[in-house]
Amino acid sequence: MISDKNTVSIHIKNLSKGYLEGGRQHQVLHDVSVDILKGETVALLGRSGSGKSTLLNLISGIDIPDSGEVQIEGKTITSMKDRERTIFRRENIGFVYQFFNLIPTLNVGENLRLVLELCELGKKDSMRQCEDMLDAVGLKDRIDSYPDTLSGGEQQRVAIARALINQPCVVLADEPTGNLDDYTADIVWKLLDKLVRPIGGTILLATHSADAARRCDRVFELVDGRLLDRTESFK
Amino acid sequence: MGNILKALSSYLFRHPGQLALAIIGLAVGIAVIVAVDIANESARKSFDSSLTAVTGDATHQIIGGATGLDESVYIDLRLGGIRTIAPIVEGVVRIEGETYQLLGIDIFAETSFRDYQVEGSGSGGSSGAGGVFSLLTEDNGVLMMRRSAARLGLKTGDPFTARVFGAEHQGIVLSLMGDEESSNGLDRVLITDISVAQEWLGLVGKLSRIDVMIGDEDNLRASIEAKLPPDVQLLNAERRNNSLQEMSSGFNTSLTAMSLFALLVGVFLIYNCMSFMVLQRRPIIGVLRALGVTREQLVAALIIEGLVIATIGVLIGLFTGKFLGEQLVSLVSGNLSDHYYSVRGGEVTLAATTILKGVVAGLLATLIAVVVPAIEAVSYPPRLTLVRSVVEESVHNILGWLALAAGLLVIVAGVVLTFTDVNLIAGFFALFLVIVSSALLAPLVVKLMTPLLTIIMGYAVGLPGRIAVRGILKSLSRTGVAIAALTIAVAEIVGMGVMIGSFRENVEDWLITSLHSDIYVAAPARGGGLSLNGIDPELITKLSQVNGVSHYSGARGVKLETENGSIQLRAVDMSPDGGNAYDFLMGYPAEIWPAFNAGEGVIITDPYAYNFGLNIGDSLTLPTKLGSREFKVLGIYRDYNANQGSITINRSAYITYWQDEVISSLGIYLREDADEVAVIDQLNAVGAPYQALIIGSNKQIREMSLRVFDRTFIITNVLYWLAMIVAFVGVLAAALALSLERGKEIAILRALGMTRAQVSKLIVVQCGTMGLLAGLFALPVGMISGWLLINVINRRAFGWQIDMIIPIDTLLSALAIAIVTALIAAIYPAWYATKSAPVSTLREE
Ligand SMILES: Nc1ncnc2c1ncn2[C@@H]1O[C@H](COP(=O)(O)OP(=O)(O)O)[C@@H](O)[C@H]1O
Ligand SMILES: [Mg+2]
Repeated sequence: MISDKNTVSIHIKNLSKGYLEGGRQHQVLHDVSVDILKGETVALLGRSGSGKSTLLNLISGIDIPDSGEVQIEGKTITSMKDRERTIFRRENIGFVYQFFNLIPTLNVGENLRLVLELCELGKKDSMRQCEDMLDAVGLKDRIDSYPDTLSGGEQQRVAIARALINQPCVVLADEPTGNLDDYTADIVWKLLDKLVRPIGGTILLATHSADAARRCDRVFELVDGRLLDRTESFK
Repeated sequence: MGNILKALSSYLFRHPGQLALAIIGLAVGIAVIVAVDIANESARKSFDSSLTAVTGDATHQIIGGATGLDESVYIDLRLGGIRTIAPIVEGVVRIEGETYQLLGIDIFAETSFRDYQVEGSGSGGSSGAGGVFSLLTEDNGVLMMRRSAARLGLKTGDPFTARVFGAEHQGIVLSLMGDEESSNGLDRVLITDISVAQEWLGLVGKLSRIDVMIGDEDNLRASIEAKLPPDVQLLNAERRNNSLQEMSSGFNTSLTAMSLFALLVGVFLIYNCMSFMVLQRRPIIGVLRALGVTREQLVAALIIEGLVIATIGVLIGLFTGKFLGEQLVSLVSGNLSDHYYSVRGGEVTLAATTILKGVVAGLLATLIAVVVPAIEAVSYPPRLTLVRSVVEESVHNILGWLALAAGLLVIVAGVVLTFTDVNLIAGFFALFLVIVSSALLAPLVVKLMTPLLTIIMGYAVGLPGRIAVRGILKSLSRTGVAIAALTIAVAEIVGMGVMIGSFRENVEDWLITSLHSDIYVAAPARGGGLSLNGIDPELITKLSQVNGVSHYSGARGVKLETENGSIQLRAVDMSPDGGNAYDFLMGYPAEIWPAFNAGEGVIITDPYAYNFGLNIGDSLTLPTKLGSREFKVLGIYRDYNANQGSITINRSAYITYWQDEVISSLGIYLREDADEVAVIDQLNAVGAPYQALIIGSNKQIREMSLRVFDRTFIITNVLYWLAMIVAFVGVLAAALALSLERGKEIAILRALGMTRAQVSKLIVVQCGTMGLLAGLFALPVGMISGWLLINVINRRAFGWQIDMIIPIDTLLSALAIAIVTALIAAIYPAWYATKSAPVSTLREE
């Protein structure tokens, strides 16, 4: 794992994205370029509306840039066809959202197994893997519960379990604690740390929290659509 | 209020798709209601108007007995100084395959009865060669409606060929009547001189009836009656028309049943689309409430908005419905012209009642659809209103109440049926209640079925299958209504299918039993269904000597006119085993036949007994040649003839009372070794020099009867396709609503790595499951409706007693139709759901 330290996990080059709003072009990302190495934990700061979510969505391939490219593990996802990109996403990227985004019609276990099922994993394996993962986030006894019966913190733990069950090489977290109190947020942070580092995954974390930023290897801030390196200020 | 409205409706303008969906849904719902109503109305109206056009201003009619009305009756009355009478000979002729009613009149007697609007005569015009009076000078001259002439490509002076039971007659168009537009129901009527009509229709020396105009002076009535022979009656024209109208009501019955279904399905569709618009905006409503807008203000704003949208939808629906109605009418007209009267295709006008029905259905459904969710939406504290799941929870809470209401409706239906005997409207009301109650039960059925379906779909298509099925339950307020609408539409197919299927089987069985002879020979019934001279007695002897013929039984069929409509009377010479042709529903053959053969009474059909409340041992009065006589009812047998029912009497008794020895049809029995085809050829050859005969084998007659049967129900097919279209839009609306509502969920699934194809599949599975649910639930509902159609509606409308048969293939195809409809409805939402990029939906919370 450590020997991988120098390979690039996420390669972003000249990425631009804007929206046409009321006839006016609103540029969210300006020519953003950055390389994130394998196993690195990177924080992404920025005011609300600065484009953090937009950047994460472009990296995960659920959004398409106006120009520029995104490479993950050497694969250029920005030039892939939708289907190809979707399959790449489900096999390589885990996503954690601010609002948990669990599927309300599936119970906790099924939410996790859905990811495995999409990757066409055998039923028996997926059952065991799912139990192990819930055990790791401390929610094994809630496997049959539906999301709306869980607290916010519990839902986010399930969401983390879901993002990681596939052992993705890249985990993207969009203000995962933005909707949680400090105490619960802390539990979530520790969990992310504990679960992602051992598998050598790369974490890109959009957050407002300086505390969270301090735990990361590198810190960037989005200002006026440009990415500024703030690692030094958080050392 | 203005700002509240703006806050509410700006959402709609930003989601024009949803607004359009609501309007389209409403319009389609209204259109179907209106179209079916138009078809119904115009079938009834053209019957009415062709009736009055033909009856004219007559207050009374003189109707002949079993052997028709002799011309001499008219002459005697005329000579007796009675002036306000006009003789009529009428019957049906065919020109180029179309049916026309031939009306033979006496010009001089006529003018005060009817206005023919013939060109060149009457108002203003000099009575030139083209007038009504030209009928006197031209042989075989006929007046034709301008519309008919245009259709046939004929103009004044052109010859044409009219066919009457195989015989051809050459006619000439003397003049055209009416203009392109107005047709007064006379569209398919040909007017000719009475002598021409007599010749063409084979009624020489006879009249169909004499129209009479009697003012208030009663003595005229009395003096006419005094001059009539005993078997001739003077009947009130209006009452007689009413009973003729009942005949058409029979046909309308199935249309009415269908329009009932259409109305309900339409109302559900409207409800579905309109309530969705309110539900969709619960978050905005919550915010407005939090800002201090009162409940009353909000509900009022929503109602105003709903009514504005409904008005647009209703208007579009009325116009679409009119167009659809025109198509239906042209279909009906083809069908009805097989029957007695003709319906004009093409243009129709929107009757006030039709418009009213459409508008009321539209606005009322809208009002309920808006008010119920609106009141519900504002009834929570502002904070709770924001939570979507609260709606669904409250829906689940009222399932019990809905079920209770459904149960009550069924009980009411039962009570209505128990306490009404023959009332058709009460029958329809009960059917209506049962359908409504099934709609109320639909959400509960969905709730009870989903656990099982979740497991099944989970196995079939994995976790997306479970998401799909549970999604249905989760949005029950939405899906429940769509499933209810689809259930009703499919139940209609099942119900009508069970009814028609059972009916057909019964008719088939009945044809096999009642057509007992091997070959039937009949003299063509002419004019008013009356064969004057029957089959020549000498010819009968010759026919019975044809090689292969074992024996025969003769029968005489006549029509007796009464104020309660016409009665079909059959006099039969029972052959030794001929009695087997009667399937007695009441009475024992061993007791019936000896009495019957001794002429002690008559046997009657089940519909006749039902219509007139007759039982075994009762008496009925018939107009005989000797005056009115009473006859005892010996037995009641099964019969599906499309008339009010008929009476069968022993022929020797008939001869005594009606003094008519004519035989109009023969049932021929063959020897074991005879070759049927060869015998028929021989019979034809023997008969040809004597007279025109209709000769058919048992099988041919059976097949022909079933063909007529099938044609009668063509329109029902069309109508239930209409209902299916409405249900289709309902499912489409629900599926779209679901994918809009669950857009976020779909976005998450896409983000988790579901491909577009997989998302589409999920929506297809979801719709398919809704179809399956509706289809499954529609089976019992449809069978109950079928039972009601058979045992209540048909029984009350026609008196037919039909044994219910459950046609498995109808059930299976109904299930398939439900699923396929839902799947087709899934296409657009499935495409729509994948079209939008997941990001934009994910941003919203
Ligand atoms: N689909 C969209 N249409 C229009 N504007 C958008 C869309 N998505 C994002 N934006 C705009 O892009 C900017 C960045 O948004 P976002 O990436 O969500 O910011 P952050 O996550 O940093 O709060 C915002 O100004 C937002 O209004
Ligand atoms: Mg964001």
